[in-house]
Amino acid sequence: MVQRTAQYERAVHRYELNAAVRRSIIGGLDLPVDPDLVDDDQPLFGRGLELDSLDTLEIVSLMEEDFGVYITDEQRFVFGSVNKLVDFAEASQPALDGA
Amino acid sequence: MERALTAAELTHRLPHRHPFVLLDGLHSIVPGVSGVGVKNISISDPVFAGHFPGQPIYPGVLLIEAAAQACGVIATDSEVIEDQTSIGYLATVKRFAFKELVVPGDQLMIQCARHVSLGSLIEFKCTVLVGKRIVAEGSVAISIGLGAGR
Repeated sequence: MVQRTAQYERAVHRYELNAAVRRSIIGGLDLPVDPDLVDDDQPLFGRGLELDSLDTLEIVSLMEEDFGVYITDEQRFVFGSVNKLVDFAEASQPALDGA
Repeated sequence: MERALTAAELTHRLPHRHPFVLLDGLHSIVPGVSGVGVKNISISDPVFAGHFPGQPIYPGVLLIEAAAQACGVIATDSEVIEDQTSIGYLATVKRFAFKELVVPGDQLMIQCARHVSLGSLIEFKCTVLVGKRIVAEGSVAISIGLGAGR
């Protein structure tokens, strides 16, 4: 039986938050992709999910509406991958941080 | 500080011309953030010749265009965009819903408020009211770009 340490709980929380962000993006952008098949380190733009600048604005809108996270021009680095988005979300929105 | 623009002043701020200037005024302007467009629906509007004969109903697509014109002016207001050759292009339309018919005699108040922005893109939430009734609502994104040498 797995011991439910604080570290384990945090890993589970992070796994679920990543999944929620993937579902929000894939659903919000109506992409023909299974959210579970998107790698958390996969690039969102270019050869990744092939998103464009209008999709970027929609991700900003989705993160604000679904997670209460506001992304500004200075934080464009967060669009690198789902993991970068969630790292930023946890850092900027304490309620999302499972620690 | 809140500002207001008359129909005549709007023609200096919009690239559109008759018959496609759809706003009669814009007030409560907070540059780059929000404002309220005014649109009077008149039976003399040529669109009613065909939409529809004997049953004049203002087209929903023109409600979106009127909201986009209001957002375009708010987004490129002189207090936030120094280069006044910039204009706002309609980039996306999201979840617009038409809840009641708009007919001649109605006066539309088009409330526009910035939701999110990134770079030259700004998304506004728009609520179109006749009196206290919401007749349409949805979001539009405006892309700020260079005009064609107005």
